[in-house]
Amino acid sequence: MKKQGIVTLSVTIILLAVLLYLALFGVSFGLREIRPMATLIKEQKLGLDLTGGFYAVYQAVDPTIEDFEAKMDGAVLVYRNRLDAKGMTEATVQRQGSDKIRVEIPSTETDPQALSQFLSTPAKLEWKDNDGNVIMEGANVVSAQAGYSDGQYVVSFKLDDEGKKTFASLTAEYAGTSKTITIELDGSVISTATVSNTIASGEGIIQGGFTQESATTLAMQIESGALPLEISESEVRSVSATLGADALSKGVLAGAIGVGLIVLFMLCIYRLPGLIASIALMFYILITFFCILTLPGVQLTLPGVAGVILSIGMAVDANVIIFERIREEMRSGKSLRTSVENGFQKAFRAILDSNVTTLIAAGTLIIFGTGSIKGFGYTLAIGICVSMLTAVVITRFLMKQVVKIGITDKRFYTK
Amino acid sequence: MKIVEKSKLFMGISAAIILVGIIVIVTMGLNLGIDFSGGSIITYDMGGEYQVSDLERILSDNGVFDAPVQQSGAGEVKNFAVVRIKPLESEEADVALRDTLLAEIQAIYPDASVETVDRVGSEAVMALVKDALLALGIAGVLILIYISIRFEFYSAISAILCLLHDVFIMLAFVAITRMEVNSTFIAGVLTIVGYSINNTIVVFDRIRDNQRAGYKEDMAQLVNESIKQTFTRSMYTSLTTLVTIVLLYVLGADSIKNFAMPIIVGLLAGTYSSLVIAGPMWTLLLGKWKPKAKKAS
Repeated sequence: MKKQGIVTLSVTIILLAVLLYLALFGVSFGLREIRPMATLIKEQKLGLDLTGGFYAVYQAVDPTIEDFEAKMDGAVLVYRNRLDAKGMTEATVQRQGSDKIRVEIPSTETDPQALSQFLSTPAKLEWKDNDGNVIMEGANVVSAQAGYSDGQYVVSFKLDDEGKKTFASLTAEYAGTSKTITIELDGSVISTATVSNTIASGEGIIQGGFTQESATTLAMQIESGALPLEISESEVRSVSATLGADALSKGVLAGAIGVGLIVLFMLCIYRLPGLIASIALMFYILITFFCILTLPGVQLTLPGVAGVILSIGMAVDANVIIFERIREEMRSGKSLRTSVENGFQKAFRAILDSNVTTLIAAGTLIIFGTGSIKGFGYTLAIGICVSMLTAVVITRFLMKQVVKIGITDKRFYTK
Repeated sequence: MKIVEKSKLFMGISAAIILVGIIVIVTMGLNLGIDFSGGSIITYDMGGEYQVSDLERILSDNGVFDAPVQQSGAGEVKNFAVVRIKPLESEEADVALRDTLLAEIQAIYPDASVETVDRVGSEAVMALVKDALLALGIAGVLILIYISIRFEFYSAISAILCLLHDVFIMLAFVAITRMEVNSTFIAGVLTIVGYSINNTIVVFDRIRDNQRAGYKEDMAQLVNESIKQTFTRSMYTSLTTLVTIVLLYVLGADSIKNFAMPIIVGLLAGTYSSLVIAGPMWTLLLGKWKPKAKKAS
């Protein structure tokens, strides 16, 4: 009985030490490597306000148009393509609310204004015949590239099969006549030309007095597709990387000192149970960060970091409730074993009800909230569930081991 | 402990603070951040130490009033200046103003440069507030139902009133201190809503326990005794939570300070309301709406 308790307790402490070491430093054996959790979170899960960069919010001008939902989803896709074309694969694009799209770019190298303009241009390309009828659109273009021809920058394009046929028959009809084909971009004419020969290859160029830059931009926009609906920029905001990094390091420092003080406090007030609560707290911190790392859609923003640090303070609450109950039982003269049993039992209802209430609040924020409110709801929910697990299950398990070992001297439990 | 007997005093203190807050909000409004008003935020890297008065003079020379200059930066040296400007009539006018400002600043501080320029629309944050209010409203109703089932209806009402109390104290605080209200403040309020209900439930749980144990004294005695029994726990928990958030305030960057301060106030308000308002409020409601229950006990 006693031996078993000592073994279980030692195994738990060793396990915790190993996990802590892995989380902070990682390990590599041969080709396989477990990277430190701290590094992974830093690389993957930090919000824009901590990494630096900028975000922009775009709003649909008219949300009452037909197929609005599908068109918004289409616009998200177009944004994704345009950002990928610029090489910004780490940028995120997501719909926000019903009529907005939010783009986040965690890079401080890019000029926000220029990029935002690049994104918000509709890039609706149209070929019109002599009578002004639209015969082809940007959607018919398979690929587009910036090029240099006859002393000026141009955009060369390649059409799909349908476009190829249309273009071939029209150029055959117009060849040698004075009839013109007009190319319009977002409603304004960029070139009007007569046709000298039939173009059957489905390849052509657009001349429009481009610079190298504007030709490249247009080529990217054509390839990524036109925006399926009218969109206006409602917000652009950038965050300095230095300020974000500074805020993060100070938050981490505050968290570390805070954990130290809480452990000290628990040891002074509750002694042996305080040590057990501290072990459970370490598990809490590890599991919380593991959840943040693995759950999709959860990001650590500045308020998020503050929230996690605050939750560490709240996580010991369940233990405080339990230990106070155990003390009351002991004061009324019950044995250690009975006091521990009763303490857990009586404290459980209070812990359950208070946490379920908070969980209800967190759940509503997740379901009905958007953006950062939703994110906050996730952090809150993770915090509650994990603290229930560590403060109740782990603490109880460890307390049982201690009782098994037979440390019954009351000096280990109270002042 | 004679908390129920002194409930008029305790509730009076809260009511007074909230009343002052409401008067300030009605007369002066809240100091709404650019999140709410829209406009641009320009962060200048001044290249070294600088005088706020220089910047303020340059701003007012160019017709920009009511634009507080906020010093910020990493560590001891505050090299950054954050200026918030309400939107002008056109984008071109905004750009022209920014160029003029920078030129005049560089005349005094040659190393100064623009670190970032942000344009902010007010719609996004308004939508955020609307979402948050809707979510909180629904959460309030669900919590009311849950507590009604697990405890009883008047406990639920008291718990929700305590929650409102804490939020109003936070609002009064930012109104009186003229602290800026922005989207992080909303996050702070949500944090307190999540936290504060815990404390109240713990007190009501003790009352429920004592009732089940066959406590037959009068209501006031029952509540006083339950508060006394949970007092140590409330103090300890408030302490461990306050330690972390105060550390964040002391060590944190400017943006964290603005987040931490209302939370500290909210935590104190939450501890206060769960200890001296929740229980007395419950007896008050019971006494007023269910006089028979009071006599029966």
